[in-house]
Amino acid sequence: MSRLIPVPEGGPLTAVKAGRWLPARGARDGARRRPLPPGLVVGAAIFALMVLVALLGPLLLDDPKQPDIANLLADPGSAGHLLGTDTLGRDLLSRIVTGMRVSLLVAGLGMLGALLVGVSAGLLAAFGGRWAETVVMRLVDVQLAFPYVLLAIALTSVLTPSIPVLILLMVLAGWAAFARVVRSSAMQEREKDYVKAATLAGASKPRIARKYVLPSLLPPILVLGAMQMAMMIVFEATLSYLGMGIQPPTPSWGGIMLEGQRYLKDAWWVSTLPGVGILLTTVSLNLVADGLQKRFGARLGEA
Amino acid sequence: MLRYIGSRVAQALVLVACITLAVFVILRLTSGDPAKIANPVFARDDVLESYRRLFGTDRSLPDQLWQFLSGIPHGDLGTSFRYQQPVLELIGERLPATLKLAAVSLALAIAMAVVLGVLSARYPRSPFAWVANVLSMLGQSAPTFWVGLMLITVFSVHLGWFPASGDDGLKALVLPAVTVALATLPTQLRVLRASMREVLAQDHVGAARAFGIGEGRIAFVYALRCAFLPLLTVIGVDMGYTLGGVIVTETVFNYPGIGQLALTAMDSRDYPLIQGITIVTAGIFVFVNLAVDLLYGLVDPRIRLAERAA
Amino acid sequence: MSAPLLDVRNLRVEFPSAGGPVAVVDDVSFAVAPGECLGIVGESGSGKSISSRAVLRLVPPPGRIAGGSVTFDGTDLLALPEKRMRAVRGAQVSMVFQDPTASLNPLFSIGRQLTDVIRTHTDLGRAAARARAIEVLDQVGFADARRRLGAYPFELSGGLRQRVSIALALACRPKLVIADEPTTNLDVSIQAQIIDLLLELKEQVGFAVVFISHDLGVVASVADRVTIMYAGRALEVGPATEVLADPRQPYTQRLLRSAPTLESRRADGLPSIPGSAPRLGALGDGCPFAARCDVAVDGLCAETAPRWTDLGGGRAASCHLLGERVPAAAGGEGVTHG
Repeated sequence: MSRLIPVPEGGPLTAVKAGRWLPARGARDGARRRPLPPGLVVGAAIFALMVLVALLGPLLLDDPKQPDIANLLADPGSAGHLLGTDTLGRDLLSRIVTGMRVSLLVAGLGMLGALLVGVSAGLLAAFGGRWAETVVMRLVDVQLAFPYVLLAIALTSVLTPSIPVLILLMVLAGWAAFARVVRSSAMQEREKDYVKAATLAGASKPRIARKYVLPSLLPPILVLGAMQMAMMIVFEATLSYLGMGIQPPTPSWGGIMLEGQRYLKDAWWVSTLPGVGILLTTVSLNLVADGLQKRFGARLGEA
Repeated sequence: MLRYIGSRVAQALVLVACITLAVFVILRLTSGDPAKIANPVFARDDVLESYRRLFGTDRSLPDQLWQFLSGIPHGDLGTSFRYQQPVLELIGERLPATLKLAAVSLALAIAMAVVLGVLSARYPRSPFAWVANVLSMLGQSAPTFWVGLMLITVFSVHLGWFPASGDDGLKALVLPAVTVALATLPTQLRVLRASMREVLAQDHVGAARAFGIGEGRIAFVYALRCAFLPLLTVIGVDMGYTLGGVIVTETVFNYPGIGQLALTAMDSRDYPLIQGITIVTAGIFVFVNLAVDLLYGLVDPRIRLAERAA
Repeated sequence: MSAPLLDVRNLRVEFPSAGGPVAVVDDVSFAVAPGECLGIVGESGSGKSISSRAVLRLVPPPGRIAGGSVTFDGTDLLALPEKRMRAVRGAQVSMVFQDPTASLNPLFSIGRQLTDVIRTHTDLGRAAARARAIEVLDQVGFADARRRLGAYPFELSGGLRQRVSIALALACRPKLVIADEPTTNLDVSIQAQIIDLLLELKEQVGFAVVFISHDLGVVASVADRVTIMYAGRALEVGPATEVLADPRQPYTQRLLRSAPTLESRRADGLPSIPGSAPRLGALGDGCPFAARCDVAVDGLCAETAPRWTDLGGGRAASCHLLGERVPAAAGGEGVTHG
C-alpha cells in the first residue's frame, strides 16, 4: 500500500462512531524504544509550520483589508502579490493567512471547549449513576444524529454571528464524540483492578475519576482532539461560506471562497487556494491523529 | 419482528419530538423579533403589534407551543413569516428535489464504496487500494463546498461538460451528486473494507474456491452479501452528516431544494419555516434508519427466519 | 496398480518463515486408483490437509507448492492455467470439508449454493440445475429434497449440513472426492451415518476417495489403502488391512499400539508416544520421527534420511530398520521386518 497518504486501519471516523477505545498490549513498554511514526512527524511539522505562519504572517504581510483598485483580480505572482488579489484588489496571500489565523483560533478554542464539555459529560456518564448515564448518552445520540448545518442555521438565526457564537457552535458540534469515547474508555478502566483497589481503600468516585482514570484516557483524547480540530476547521469554513460564520470584511477562508465563486472562470485561484490551505491543515492534523494512534499502540476500534 | 419495528418507530418519534421541542424553545427564547425584521427600522409600534399578532408571537411561549403542537396532527406545521404560506406547502415544493439529490448521491457513494471496497480488500496492494485511500483522505479532509467549487471549476467552467446550477435533467445532478458522494464515501469505504477483509478470511470463501467458483463471483456475490450489513448500519447512522452535506451542496450549486430554503429562512428569522425543516429532516433521518432495519432482514436470512428455525 | 487416477509424486509445499522456507509437506508421494479409497492418517500438523489442498492448488498463501508433480487422469494439474484448474475443482475433483458450518455460506440457501456450483460447471439452465440439485440432495439422504432447497444452513443440524457438503461435492459427478476430516466435528452416532453414506455413494457412483483423518479407527473402516504421514513426510503406505495388521514402520506400530482395543484393560493404561510433534523448521536431515522413536539407532536415524523402500505387494515404508528384527517395546511383542 502506498505510504503517500496512510489511512488508519479500520479508520478513526468509524471508531469514533463506535466510541470505543482499546489499549494494545505492551503499549507503554514499547513506547520508549519505538521510533516515531513518520506520518506523525510530517503531520506535526506541517501543522506547526502553519501555526507559525498564522502567528507571524500578519506582521510581515500587507494589510488584508487594504484595497488596491489598480490591481483587481491580479494573477498570482504579479507585482507584489504572491497569490494575486481578490475582487477588491486586496492581497490574497495576506487575506488567506489572516483567515487561517481566525480559523485556527476558532477551531482551537472550539476543540478545547468541546473537549472540556465532552470529557466531563463522559466521566459523568461513566461514574454518575444510571440516570446521568441515560441522559448524557441520549443527548450524545441526538447530537451525533443531527445535521450540523441545521444546528448552525437554527442557532445563527437567533444569535448574531460572531466569534464567540462560532466557538459555541463548535463546542456543540464536537462535544458528543469526546463524551462517547471517554465514557466507554472510563467504563473499561473502571473494571480494572487498580480502580477497584482504590474504591476499596475508600476513594470517592470523583477522586477515582480524576486521579486514576483520567490520565489513562489521555491518548484517545489527544487523538480525537486532533481529528475534531480538523473537523472544526472545515466546519468553520463551511459556515463562513454560507454566511453564518465570520462576517466580512474580516477575512475568512470560507468567505474568500464565497467571493471567488463568481469568478471561477477568470480568477479560479481565489476560490481554490484557501481550500488548499484547509486541505494542508486538515491532512496534517489527520496525520498527527493517525500517528498518535500508532504511537500509543491503541486503537479507536470495535471491542 | 413486528414488535421490534414498533419499538424502533416509538423511539424514533420520541427523538423527533425532542428535537422539535428543543428547536421551538431555542428559537423563541431570544431577542430576535421577527416582527422587527419584517419591518423597516422606523416602523410604528402598532404596526409591529399587528405583525406580532399575525405571526402569533404576541402570545405567551406555552401558548405558542400548544398552538404549534395542535396543528401537527392536521398536517399544519405553521405559516412561514416571510412567505405567508403554510410551511408544509413550502417544504413540499422543494423536498422532492432534495430527496432526488440525496438518493442519487447515496446510490453513487454506495456503488463506489462497493467497487473500491471489495477490490481493495481483495487486492490490498493494487491501484484500487491506492485510489480508495486517496479518495478517503480527500473526502474526509476537504470541505464539501470546496470540492463542489473545484468540480464546477474543472468540469463546468473550463470543460463545459455539466451545468453549474439548477435542476434541469440528469446532467444537472451529476456534479452535486459527486460532491455529496465524496463526502460520505470515506466512512462507507472503511467500514466495507474492514468487513470484507474479515469475510474473505472465512472458511466458506475457501470452500467456494474449492468448488471452482470464479474469484469475481466469490468477491462480489458471496463475500459481499456477508460483508454488507455493517455498511447498511453506517449509512443509517451517518444520515445526519449526509443530509448536512446535501444542504451545503445545494447552496454551492444553487440547487432548488430545502437546503436553500433553510438558508433564506435563517436570514429572515422565519421560525416556523426553520422548525418545519428541522422536523422534516429529523423525519428523513428516522425513516432512513427504519429502512435500514428492515433491509437487515432482507439481507440476512437469520434475522428474518428466526422464528422458523426455533 | 494400473494407471492411477491421482498420482502425487515427491510433493513439496513450503511456507516462508523468519529462518527461511519451511517444508510442511516434504517429498510425499501417494496414488489413488479409480474407485478406490485411500486413507491418509496423521496427527495435526503432519501435512495431510495441506497435501490435499495442494492437489487442488488451493494452498493458502503465503504457502506455495515448491516441487513434485500432481497428475490427475493423465493431466499435470500443476501446469494447468488457472482457468482450466477452476474447471477441475468441484467438477472432476471435489472436496468435503471438516466443518460444514464454516464451509457453507450462511446467507445463501442450500439450493442456491448447489445450483451455483452446478451451473458453474455445466450448461444446465435454471430448472435443470434445480432438478439435479434435488437429485443429489436425495442421494445424500434428504427426505423431501424439493422442499428443502430453500433451507438455510443455520436451519439444519450438523449431520444434515455435512450431507449438504457431500451433496455439493457430488453435484457435478466428480471422479475423485477428497474428504478432509469429514466426521471429526460430528457426534459419534452421526459419524457412522456419514461414513456409511460415503461408502454407499462410492459404490453406487464409482468415484475415488481420499479420506483424511487422524482417527485410525475411522480410516480402518473406510479405506482400501492407507498412507501414514508424520511431520510433512509419508512414512508408510499399503493396503489398509495389511498395514494395520502388520505395520512395518515404528511410528505406525506405536500409533496402533496407543489405540485402545476391546482387550485393553484400564489398569494397564494406554501406551503413548513420548514427546510431541516436532517443529517443522527445526527438522534436520534425518528421519523426522527419530527423536521420539524408541528403536532409533544412534548416529543413524537422526542424521540420515531413510530411503523410501518398496516392500512389495503395493507396500512401502521409510525406515532404516526395515529388514531387521525390532526389539520389543515395553509390554509388546517384537515384530520382524522384511
